[in-house]
Amino acid sequence: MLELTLVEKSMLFARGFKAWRRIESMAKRLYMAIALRVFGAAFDAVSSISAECERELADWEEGRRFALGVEPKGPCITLEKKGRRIRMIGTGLKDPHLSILFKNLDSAVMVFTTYMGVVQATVENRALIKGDNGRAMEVIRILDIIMIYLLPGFILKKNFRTVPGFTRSQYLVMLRIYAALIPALVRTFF
Amino acid sequence: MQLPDSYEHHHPTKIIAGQRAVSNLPFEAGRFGAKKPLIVLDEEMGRTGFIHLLEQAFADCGQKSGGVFFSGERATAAGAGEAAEFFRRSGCDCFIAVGGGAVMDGAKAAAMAVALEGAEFPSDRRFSMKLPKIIAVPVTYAPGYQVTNLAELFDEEKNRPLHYFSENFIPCMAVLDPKATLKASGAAKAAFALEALARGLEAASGREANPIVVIYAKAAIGLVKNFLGPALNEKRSREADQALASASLYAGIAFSGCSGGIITGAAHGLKAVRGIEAGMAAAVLLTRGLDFVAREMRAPAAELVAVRESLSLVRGIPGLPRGLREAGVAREQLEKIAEVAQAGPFLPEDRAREVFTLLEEAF
Repeated sequence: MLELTLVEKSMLFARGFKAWRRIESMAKRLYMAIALRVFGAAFDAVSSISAECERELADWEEGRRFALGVEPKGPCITLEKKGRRIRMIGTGLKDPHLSILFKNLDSAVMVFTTYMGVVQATVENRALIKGDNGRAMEVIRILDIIMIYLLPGFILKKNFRTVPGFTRSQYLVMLRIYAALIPALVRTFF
Repeated sequence: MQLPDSYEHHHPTKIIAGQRAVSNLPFEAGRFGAKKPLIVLDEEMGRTGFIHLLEQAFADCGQKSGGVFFSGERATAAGAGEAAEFFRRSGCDCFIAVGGGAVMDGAKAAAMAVALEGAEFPSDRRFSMKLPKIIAVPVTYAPGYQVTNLAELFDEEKNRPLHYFSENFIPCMAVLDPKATLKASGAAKAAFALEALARGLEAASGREANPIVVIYAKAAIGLVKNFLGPALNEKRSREADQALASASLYAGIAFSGCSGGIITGAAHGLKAVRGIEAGMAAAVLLTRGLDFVAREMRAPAAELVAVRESLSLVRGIPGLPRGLREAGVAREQLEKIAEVAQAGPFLPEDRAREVFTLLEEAF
């Protein structure tokens, strides 16, 4: 017998059925496709408002493209620096200069359900970086900034070694980001 | 740590450990050029349903495994032939061994049979032919020699084990997932941990120990020292189980870099003559014969302290024999066991006398 919790045992039992395995894979792919689009919109909203993000983007050349997604043949989005912000230019790989691809759906789902921080996932080698490593670290830092602004404190405490203390002006930035996220989401999904 | 005048070290196993490590297996296997694996496991593992976890990982990548082959309780030429036939028929390109030592031996023997293409197993102990890739998914509590360059095949005609050595037996990848932890009794956990200690101690004090072997051996001993207590005392401790699985793996890697030792040699003799499992045998020998082992092997002092601390944790565990007599060995058999140990693959020099003394100490 394996040392598993009741939930894990039930999942293992369900996975015994081929149909379940197909449904589970599809559900994970669908979740990741939606989560990546949400993050695409979040890149747009945060990069246009956050000063930390602006500093990070200062050295980026215009038109720099990067992709975020899941290997192999999983959902993927490509983003591009346009002016002072990062815009999602579509799904799939669209000639990115850099791509950060999670090695499997489970690792990607763990990060995009906030079970694990993106930095933690990177140091655990759960993502494959194709392109310049230094540029990848820049993207990961921006992803980190996005998480800090979007996620509630108790999740941040779980995922970040040191949770940054927010100033009053940063709380205002957070509210502005939430407000900007709505049109960004509309642009991304429709 | 001393630097030898000259040494060679080769251990190509990529270790993937941690939460959902199994999900990573298809992608990482693909990097080794393996797309369609044959999964080898035993009946007991088959009943646990762990295979579904692997199948889900392949389904997530849009792939399928080449099939499942159930290996027997020990690897035989006939079983290996069957597995090789299944491997060829299904168009597989690598083996994934899920389980303990017997399964790993089964996968190694099957890989040999694939390379031999129907020819008989050679009498030469060194096997130099190119083999399909092997991936190990050790299931705690499983012994750590899965990642060694050794394979044991049971000769049914002569009723004795045959040992083969090849660099190609070393798995290209070992995946340690906390979900691959079997429920085990305190005695089984202790035996498993003490076997890792024995291998680590032998590797660290072996004449051919190089700095890399010593690093792995010390890591194995350190992990056992720190996590054996929690593994024995807590009802469910994933961290401790994972640490012991890692310790076993490191000890196996360290042991690959040395030619053997008197504990492993004596344990081999006990298994061959009395059918005592290698882990349990190593546990008894280490518990009773540590003073002798320490004198004989000139083991590093810090590691000896760690081993003594670990041994104090397992004293009095029900089911763990306190000596060879309790394990069902008769005094008259000790000489025979020492002879078999000397004839085995773990004692390159004449150490029959030392093995006999160790057996007497542990009686």
